[in-house]
Amino acid sequence: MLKDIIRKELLDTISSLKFVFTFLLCTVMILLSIYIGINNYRSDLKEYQASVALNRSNLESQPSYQALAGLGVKISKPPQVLSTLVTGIQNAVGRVASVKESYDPELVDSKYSTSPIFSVFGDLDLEFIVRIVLSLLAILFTYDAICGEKESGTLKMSLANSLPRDRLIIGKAVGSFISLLIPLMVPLLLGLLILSLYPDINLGREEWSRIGLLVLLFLLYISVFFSLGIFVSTLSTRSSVSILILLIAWVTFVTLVPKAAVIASGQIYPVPSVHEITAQKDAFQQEIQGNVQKEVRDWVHTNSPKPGEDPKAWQEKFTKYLEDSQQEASRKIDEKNAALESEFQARRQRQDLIAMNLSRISPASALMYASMSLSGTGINEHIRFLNSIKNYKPVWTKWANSKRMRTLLLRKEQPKPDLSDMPRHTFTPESFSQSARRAIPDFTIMLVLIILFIAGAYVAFLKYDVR
Amino acid sequence: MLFHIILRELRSNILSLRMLLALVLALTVFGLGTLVFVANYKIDRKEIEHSSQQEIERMKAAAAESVSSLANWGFNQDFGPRSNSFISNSREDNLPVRFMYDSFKVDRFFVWPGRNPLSDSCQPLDWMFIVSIIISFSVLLLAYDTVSGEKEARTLALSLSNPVSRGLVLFGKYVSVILSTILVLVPGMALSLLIILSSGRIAITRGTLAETGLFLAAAILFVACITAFGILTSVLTHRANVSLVAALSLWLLFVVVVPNTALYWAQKLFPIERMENVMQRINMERENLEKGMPEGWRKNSASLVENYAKLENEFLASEMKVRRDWYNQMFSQYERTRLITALSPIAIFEYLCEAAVGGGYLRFRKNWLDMNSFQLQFLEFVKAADAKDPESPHAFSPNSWGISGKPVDFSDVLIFQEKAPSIQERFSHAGLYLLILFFYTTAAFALSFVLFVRYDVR
Repeated sequence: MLKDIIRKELLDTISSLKFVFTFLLCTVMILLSIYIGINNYRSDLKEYQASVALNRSNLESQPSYQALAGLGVKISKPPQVLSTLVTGIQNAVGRVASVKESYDPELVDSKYSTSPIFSVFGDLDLEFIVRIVLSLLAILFTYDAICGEKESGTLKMSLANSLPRDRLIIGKAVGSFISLLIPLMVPLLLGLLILSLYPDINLGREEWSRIGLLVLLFLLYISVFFSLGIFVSTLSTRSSVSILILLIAWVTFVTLVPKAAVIASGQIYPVPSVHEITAQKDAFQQEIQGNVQKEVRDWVHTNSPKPGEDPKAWQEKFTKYLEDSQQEASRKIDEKNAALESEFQARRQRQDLIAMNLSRISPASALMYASMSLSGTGINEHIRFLNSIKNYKPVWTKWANSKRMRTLLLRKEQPKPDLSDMPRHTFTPESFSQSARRAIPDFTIMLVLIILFIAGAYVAFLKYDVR
Repeated sequence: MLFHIILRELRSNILSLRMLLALVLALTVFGLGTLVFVANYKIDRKEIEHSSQQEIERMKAAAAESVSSLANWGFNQDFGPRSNSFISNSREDNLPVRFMYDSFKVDRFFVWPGRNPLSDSCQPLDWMFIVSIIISFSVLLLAYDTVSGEKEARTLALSLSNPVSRGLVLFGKYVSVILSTILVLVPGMALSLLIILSSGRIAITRGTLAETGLFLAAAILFVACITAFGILTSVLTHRANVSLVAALSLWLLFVVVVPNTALYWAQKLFPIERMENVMQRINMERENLEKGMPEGWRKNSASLVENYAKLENEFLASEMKVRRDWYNQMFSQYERTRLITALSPIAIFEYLCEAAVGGGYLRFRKNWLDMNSFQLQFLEFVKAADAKDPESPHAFSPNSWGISGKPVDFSDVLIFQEKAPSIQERFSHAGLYLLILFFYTTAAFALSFVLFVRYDVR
């Protein structure tokens, strides 16, 4: 019996205009988004390789270690291969960081800032298509599941047979879910196939497991709207009312809640602006430099060359003192900058966390965060990359300084820098299990919503007036 | 007759559930959006005033030091939030709002630094967003079943059995949807203005009211266009749920597909040079110019200042030529991409709002041009100050010591003032978009009319 209901529902949907249309729309959108993703990734990769090579040749062409230490080394952030599916915040955050003495490394030159056109016109990735388009389609597939049949009078006819209500609703749900899966999965699998065929896109086993979880996430997300559709359809007696309620719920979930959450977190937990932080840094730097000047004056006053002292020796002593005090000052400034910066970052991260948790009420936000975690294009991976650069800075400056010191005293021609023993920056991306663990809350939220809606639909249908 | 049809339709719309829901939703978002605007505006304003004050202080310091410092130091000009951005922020969060200039050049612009990358993706809840996304959605919901729904309910045949022309019936339905939407829109806008008035932080001037009027006019045109598309989906099919699918996919096309693929087309069709290449070209030109100088010129102390100034001026001219070309490429890429997005009435509405409030790209372009002509005045001013000093070598060039070392009185120094775009500038900015929108509206409505005349109403 159940099989017959599923079959009937499936055939019903597949032969409808709605299905044909959905299939076409999904195919075009999904393939287009993956194609655009691949294109963007390849151009990002090219840009990344070019900037690494440029940095390398810049370092190699430096005449001395002195110049090398002054120039510093530039670390570029490699593009994530899964940004082909989920762009995340990649375009909004910086891609290059300078590492040199007395300079707090920071990732700058985001795609948005180098060419504002990128931020004004949004991007189209698979996650966006799923979040906006497929959720809307899920609603369109289910809004009249029950109340539509009631309106056309077929519901009471079906139930006049010896057919339990629970079986009817399960059969209908399963049947239309399968018919929704076809327009989603066929182009998606095709898109993934295309992705795997591109020669310069390397997908290892870990990437494939991430993609697997992403697909599961997309399915869960669509199921949330699907089950919500059935639930609302069993609550209302007219399909026009049902679609209206569903669309308003959709607008709220997809466009309003994420916006409201960011706004609310800004009000709940305000963060000082970058300008305030910069002003604080500048003020501290000025204060320290002022102190240094005063101390130097005092030093000269108290240590003025005694009569009969060799002026050359005094000069050396003075240079030594100047170097030491300058080093001490820049250490202090570094420390203060790092402290200010880390406090600022911590506050900002806390604000982000509040916004994230608030907006998770909406499955659309849960989808966004989980997919960014899984594809490594979220804020978390960005911070990890920045931290790896911060850890690299002392290693590199130590190397550069030791080289510089050793060659500084050479009277003859300065040697050209030898980069063979230069410490390299390394970054290990977050492991799959860690990313998956971070996505667990989002998966749980979606599962809970699905269970709630299905249970609600079930109970409401048992009490439904089918006449 | 038309009046009766409109009245009847309007009455049935107003009493419907969707109208009530749309009204509640609109009032909520208008209220929420404005509350947030009021809270944020003060903070943003303070920040911008602080940074502008710092720049003034730097300028004072430069003037007190010397003409040379004033000419060379390089200052930032920030463009703060507009007090009318509750109407439309026009993506100013993503556009450059800081220019860097000195007396020789305006060479760089910046997007506001240090924004939260998470909130970057989210536009503020301004009137423009509410109308272009939420109201357009509700308009389609009101319009999709005006014809096919009545056919299903069998009232269409009844109406048309009276002596009324089909065109009149269709037009009556069309006007009534627009009027119902205005009934949702106006209370929302009024609520928003009330919140701003009662906050006492932002003055509502006559100019703001005029801009509100312009916005309302743009919104009505936009609603008329979307309604025409909604009615078109309704006369295309005989069943309301198919009309619904068509209407929603049209909405998706306008809101999602067209704006979000524009960037892809922009990169494919109008590619521009990368920043790194431009910088490399500038450096190469510099090297060439330096090679072109006479042998051993640095050692010839008699004409060193003049030669140095000559070289610096050549550097400046060559760099500015490359930069200007690049910026013009960038602007033209942006403008052409906007023309592609004009396929979507929602994008057009955004550009109309930009013109109504004098913000967004219109403001950026105006400020950029104004800044460039201001720089010329500033240069003249500095040159005049230099000319007054008999001890100066008068070898005027960037980074040189050929400019007077005497201080300048700060009260004479020119300071840039932002001017809002004039009415003519706004209209000429909006003109093309208005035409396109008008074309879409008439085309969609004419097509609906043709289809409705042949519609099987039974």
